Amino acid sequence: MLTIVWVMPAVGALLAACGGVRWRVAAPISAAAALGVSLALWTHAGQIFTSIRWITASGLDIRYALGLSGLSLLLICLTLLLTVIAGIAGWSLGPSFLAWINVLGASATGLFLARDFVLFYLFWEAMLVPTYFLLVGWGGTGRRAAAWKFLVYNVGGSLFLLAGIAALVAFGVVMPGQRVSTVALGSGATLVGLALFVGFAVKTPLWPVHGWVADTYAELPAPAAALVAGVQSKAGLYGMLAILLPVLPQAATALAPLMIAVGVVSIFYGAFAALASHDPRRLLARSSVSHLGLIMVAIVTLRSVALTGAVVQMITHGLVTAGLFLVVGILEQRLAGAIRLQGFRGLATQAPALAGALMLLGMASLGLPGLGGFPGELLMVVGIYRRSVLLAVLAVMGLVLSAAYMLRLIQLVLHGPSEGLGSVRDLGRMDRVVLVPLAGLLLLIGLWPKPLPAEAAISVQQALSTRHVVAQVDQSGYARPRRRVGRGLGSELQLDVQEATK
Amino acid sequence: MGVLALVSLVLPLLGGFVLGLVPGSRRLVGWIGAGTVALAFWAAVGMAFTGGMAFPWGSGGALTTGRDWVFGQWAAVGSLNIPLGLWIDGLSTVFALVITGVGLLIVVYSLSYMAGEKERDYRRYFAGIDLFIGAMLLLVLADNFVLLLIGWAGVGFASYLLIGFWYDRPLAVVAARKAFILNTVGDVALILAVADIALRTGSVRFAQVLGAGSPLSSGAAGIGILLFVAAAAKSAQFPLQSWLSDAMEGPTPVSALIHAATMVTAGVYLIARCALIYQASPVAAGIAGDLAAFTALGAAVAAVAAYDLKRGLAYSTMSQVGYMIAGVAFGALAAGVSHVIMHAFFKAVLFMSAGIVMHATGDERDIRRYGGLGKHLPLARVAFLAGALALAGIPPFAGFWSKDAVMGALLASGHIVAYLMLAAAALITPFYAFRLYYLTFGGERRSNVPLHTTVPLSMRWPTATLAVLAVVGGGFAVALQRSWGSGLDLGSMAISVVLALIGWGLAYRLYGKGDLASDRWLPEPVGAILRSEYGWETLWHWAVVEPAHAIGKWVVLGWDGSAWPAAEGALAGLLSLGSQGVRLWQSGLVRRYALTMLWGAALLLLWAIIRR
Repeated sequence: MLTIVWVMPAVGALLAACGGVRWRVAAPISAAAALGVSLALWTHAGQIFTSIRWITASGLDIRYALGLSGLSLLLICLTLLLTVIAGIAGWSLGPSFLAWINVLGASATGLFLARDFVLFYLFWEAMLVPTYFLLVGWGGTGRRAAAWKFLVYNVGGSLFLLAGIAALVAFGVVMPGQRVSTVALGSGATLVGLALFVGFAVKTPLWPVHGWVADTYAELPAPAAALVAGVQSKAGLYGMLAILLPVLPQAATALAPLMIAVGVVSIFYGAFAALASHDPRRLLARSSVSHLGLIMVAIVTLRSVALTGAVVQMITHGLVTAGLFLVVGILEQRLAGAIRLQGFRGLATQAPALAGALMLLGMASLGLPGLGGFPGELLMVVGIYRRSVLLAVLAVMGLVLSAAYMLRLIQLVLHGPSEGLGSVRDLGRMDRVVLVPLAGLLLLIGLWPKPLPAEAAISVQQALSTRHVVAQVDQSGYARPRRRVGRGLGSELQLDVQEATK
Repeated sequence: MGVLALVSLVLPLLGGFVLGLVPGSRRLVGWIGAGTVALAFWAAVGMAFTGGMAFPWGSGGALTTGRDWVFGQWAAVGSLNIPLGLWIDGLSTVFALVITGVGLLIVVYSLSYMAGEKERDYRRYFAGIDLFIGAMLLLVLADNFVLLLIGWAGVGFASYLLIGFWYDRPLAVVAARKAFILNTVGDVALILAVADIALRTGSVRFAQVLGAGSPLSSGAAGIGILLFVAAAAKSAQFPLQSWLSDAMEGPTPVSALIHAATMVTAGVYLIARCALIYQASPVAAGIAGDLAAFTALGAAVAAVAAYDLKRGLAYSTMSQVGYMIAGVAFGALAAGVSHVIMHAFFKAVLFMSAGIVMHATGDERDIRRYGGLGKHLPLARVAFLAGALALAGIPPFAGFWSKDAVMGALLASGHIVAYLMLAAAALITPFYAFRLYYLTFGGERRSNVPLHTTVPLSMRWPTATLAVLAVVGGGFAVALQRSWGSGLDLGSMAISVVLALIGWGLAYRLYGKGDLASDRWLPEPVGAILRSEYGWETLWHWAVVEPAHAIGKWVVLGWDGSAWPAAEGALAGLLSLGSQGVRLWQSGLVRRYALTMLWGAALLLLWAIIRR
């Protein structure tokens, strides 16, 4: 059942790639169908599991294991929705573009489903390929350099991840979801945790390994940028939430000061850089670094409210960022070329619908209460406050800065005198098809966010629950490597049931 | 009653959405815009008659008589439950009545005032106004801090849209941005307050946080200060005041509704709602009350030198809101809240008269180019006079009853510093009010721009209605104070009357002839400093705005632009040194490199597996 969800868009990609123009419609349709399937599974998160023995050699047990937690489900829905939207928005770029978009969607979906470290790593690497080819094939003038940078950073990050995962596999740890198992690697645990953290941080990206992001987002065609910015960053955060915290709780605790520092610097580095950006795409890239830094801080606080907020914010950040990149893409198309934020443009007079879309998405991005960006932010700040007042103050200072740079973007593009501007076409029908679902979802989430935290609750409990196990083990003096205990899917189901009934 | 409250806030919001999305004729736009507000007013009156006027506070400022009407759940995380619910008591009903009542009059006034706009902009204007009224009602009717926060930010957003309504004017755009960012400072203070409240009480609902037996006796100081920061941003109190005078770039009815009668009193609402916190913490009450009284005095002094009529009125608003906040922070709840109502009446009428004057003079706002307008605009003159008398606190006009009540209560409760500042402001208030009046309507015309003296009917009636309320509306204040159980203090009344008469007398003596040259009593450097708002703007610019942009440039150019590429280059250099031996692979093809790396990764994996 779960296999279908990631294979379907992949098949769509194959059809589009082989069938040419006539079959390109298969790409968005297959992703939409997969989205339908995952929505149908909304109430079944945590109950479905697929596990097949794959490689068994010298005591290893590598499985083709897929599972569906609330967190995975939310991220998969986000991924597939953005895949469909990117497919529609990039319709005119040809069948192979759509195919690569679907490959990216399928590999990200697989990543969020994977419940085996090796499988997880395979999907992780698979995500690099479509982004690279989208960049090289359809990028702007600086695409070669951007692609090279993207690859070096991400492959470098992958190596750290690989080292960490190899160590975990070597010690017989299996991925949470397949079964919750904690590992006591002693001082080595911190090292392994650090390797995982670096790998995840590059993908997210966080300061100081954010070097690739501005160039990549600046060069990618807008629909691809929407998908990459909306989804890929979530892979890194997902890794922190679903792997680092539950598998290496001690390492997460030991590394917490470092991770918090990285998050806080990201918040301010990204926000200040966005404030001084002249290119909207770079502004959005840096704003992403800032927002993702806040999510990172929230995750590390290990408070369930903050983690829930982080999950909600991962979803809304994906929707907002994708929407903003699409709007910027439309703007570039209308103004025939890249936009520089210098002086007023006054577009609102001629393109009111476009202005409305940018206004709504921008407001959602800066977290205006009543729109999608707010619930996650509120919960994160409430949770962070429980850990440290100072951290919460720093976090909300980032929000004030985000208001400053986002208003700068909105106003310079939309407002001011509009003289000297040729006629600018407002949103076309296809543009509306693409933007209305995003805007509608953001409005809905802002007014009634309840389903998101509800869906995320179990995953959040899982991410935090092993901490108690370890704490108990430590107290009773039984801290030992725990290998190969209770293998199988029964224990996950049990845990889910326990958590669900809480 | 809960249904009425829900109807009152959903209708304007719905109207705002429809107007924002669906094109329609001016007539239809007007009907939707004014109709939804009229229905909301009807619902608010219904709330008042079905028993929503009871005195809200019990001992220690705890909420006692409110009715909590929950109709859903916004979100729930762990034990933190955030409902969708409304809270109806005397405080929320009074605010709802003011918002919808004064709102209705101003919307009707706008029908003609904005008639010169293009059809699309006309629709955009009423969409903004409806959105504002709906959000403002949510703010005062919410039964928990999160919904309040949504309304709080919603009115800020509507205010941003309407300040920047003429978005082709750079001044308006900049003013809108400034208002939004300063208000964001308030929003995040409120978010922090919510975080602290949730941490201490495990809830965000008024019934639990502010009700009897609330656990908030400890830690009230911190929350109280955070709430005051939020209130200061929204209500333009020192040190977050500077956006309000710039906000006068918006259309004048917007200034009347949002930046005088309603939104800027949201801070008063917040502090009155949280009276429990301020009564538990004298420190927080002292900070809020004294800073507000300080604002009341400082803004009144600044108004003395104003040349811009609307800015003069804006300083007056800051000053009057200072009275309200000082009142509610120090526990004079009935007095402070009744001053909200009175101020809504007289400040709205002042702005509406100013709007008529601007309409007649071709959007002129500089009183140096007015003069002698009383002959041509008798309605505006009479209405402005009524507003000025009420503002000045001359009995029996509206402002007297509430302003004096605030001052009397502070005197009685021994808050002498705040009282003295407010008393000084009460001396200056009539002076600046009548300076504006005489220089605008008295004397001879100082400009030869032709006047358009016809005032449309839909502007005349609302102005006249509010003028009448400015004259006799004091009855509402007295009735409210009596029913909420606070008496009149004759001693303080006598002082207030004397102060008001002295201020008026001075203004008459100096400006009675409507001669601009009378301004010479104030040395020019002092006047310039007052008009620059004590240089606060410049200070803010150089202390905050410029450094932020400088840091941004430094990050982008210094780090992202040079340090990072240099580090990347150094790393790449090291790598290429290391790869001297494997030159064969250095084909220069990026894809080859990628492939190599993938293979390398796979080999590493294999190695790890085999080693195990």
